[in-house]
Amino acid sequence: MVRKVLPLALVMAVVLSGCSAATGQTLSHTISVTGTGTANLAPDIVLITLGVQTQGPDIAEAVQENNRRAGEVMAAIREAGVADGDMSTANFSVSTQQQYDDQGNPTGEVSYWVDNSVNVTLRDLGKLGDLLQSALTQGANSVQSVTYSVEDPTEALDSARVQALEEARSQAAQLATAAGVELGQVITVGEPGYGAAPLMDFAPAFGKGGGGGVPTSPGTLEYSVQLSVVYGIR
Amino acid sequence: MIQRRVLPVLLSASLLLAGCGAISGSGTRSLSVTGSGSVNVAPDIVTVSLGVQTVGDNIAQVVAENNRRAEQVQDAARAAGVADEDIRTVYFYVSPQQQYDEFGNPNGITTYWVDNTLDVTLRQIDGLGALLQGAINAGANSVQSVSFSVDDPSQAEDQARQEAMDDARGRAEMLATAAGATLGEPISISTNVYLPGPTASYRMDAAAGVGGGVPVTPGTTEVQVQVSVVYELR
Repeated sequence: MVRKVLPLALVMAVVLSGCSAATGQTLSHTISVTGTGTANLAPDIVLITLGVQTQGPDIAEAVQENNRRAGEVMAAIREAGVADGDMSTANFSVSTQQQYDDQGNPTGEVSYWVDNSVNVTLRDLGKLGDLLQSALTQGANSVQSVTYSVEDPTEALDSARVQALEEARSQAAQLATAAGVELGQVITVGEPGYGAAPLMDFAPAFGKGGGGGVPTSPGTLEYSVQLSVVYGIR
Repeated sequence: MIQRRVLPVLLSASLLLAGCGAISGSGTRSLSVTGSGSVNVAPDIVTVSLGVQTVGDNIAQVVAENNRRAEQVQDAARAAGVADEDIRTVYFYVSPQQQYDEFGNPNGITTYWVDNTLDVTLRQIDGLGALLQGAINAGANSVQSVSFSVDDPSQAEDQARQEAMDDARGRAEMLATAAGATLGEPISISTNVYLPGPTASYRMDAAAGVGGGVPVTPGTTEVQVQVSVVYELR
């Protein structure tokens, strides 16, 4: 082990010293800080996945029943104001399931499981409750997800980035003062990690839910961005 | 042995060099940003797995029944407009299943489970509903993995890449100004392409349902490109 580690340590030491020699004085005096900016946005779309699942010993009947109900559910979704372009098939599947007796042996009988699910984007949030209720009334028996989202948070996130930069500057200025030095110019700016991720905030921002039917509420979505900034010291 | 030891050392050395080069260069100040671009493309192909699963205690009969129906399913796929080269058998297996008595001992009876599954690609996606219904009518009792996609996304990728670069540049200019600096030349650019399936994309602009039979609708596929760009600061 020692024999392996030693050469590695040597190489690293050489590289590190080479590195600091190359950087010269520009980087020898710096302050590194991370600033955070947030944007609270009201959702403007809601993404829904729902479907019709049927089963039975006769595959033709199970599929036919599923087709009929899925067709009615899709019609109900369109009637709730969803454009054709805002609905797409998420899944269609038919599965054969063996039946088992008390001993756990296959009985030779099978039943069929049919699923037809759609993804829906609803832009009129007030209609969510009615849409869900009407889909369930028309034969949907599986609602897999209801997710509020912001279609394009780019602009709000860019304001949050400027806010993060200001916060970083204020941190750096405080540190410089405390250390008795003068803050210099920005040397590097970058985003740590993987950029903006929305943090869910379930506090409802609106008094009313999504109309009649199933009670729902969009709340607000908090997006957070961070910037890592290195300042020089004069 | 020697190579195994040298490789990690070289790797860590190059990482260290790269790391210190990015920060320092010859005292280069820098700003790193990510930009993203996305283009919605109407899918032009759809793939689906169609299977025939049969079960029984006479292996010859179970296989014969499976063969007959699997042949019919292939014919149905061709009749629905699938080309021969777009029909591919992805598995065929025969699986003996032992039966057990109430004490958990094998009772000498075996049943057989036979599965013949095809992956088919349909290039006229408005025929999907009819293809699914036709396959089920012909004896398919396992339908899985309906997946819409774009045959050649390269043009959409080019457009998304351009958008991503514009997005990165705009963000960089904004941040450089906020940091009291002037944006210089790009120092490094790297990129990623994402082609999520339609289940991940909720923006759809396709026309209404897809033909007769099973009610389905394609939506659109979103082609996303992300770029990471490091700019020089002046």
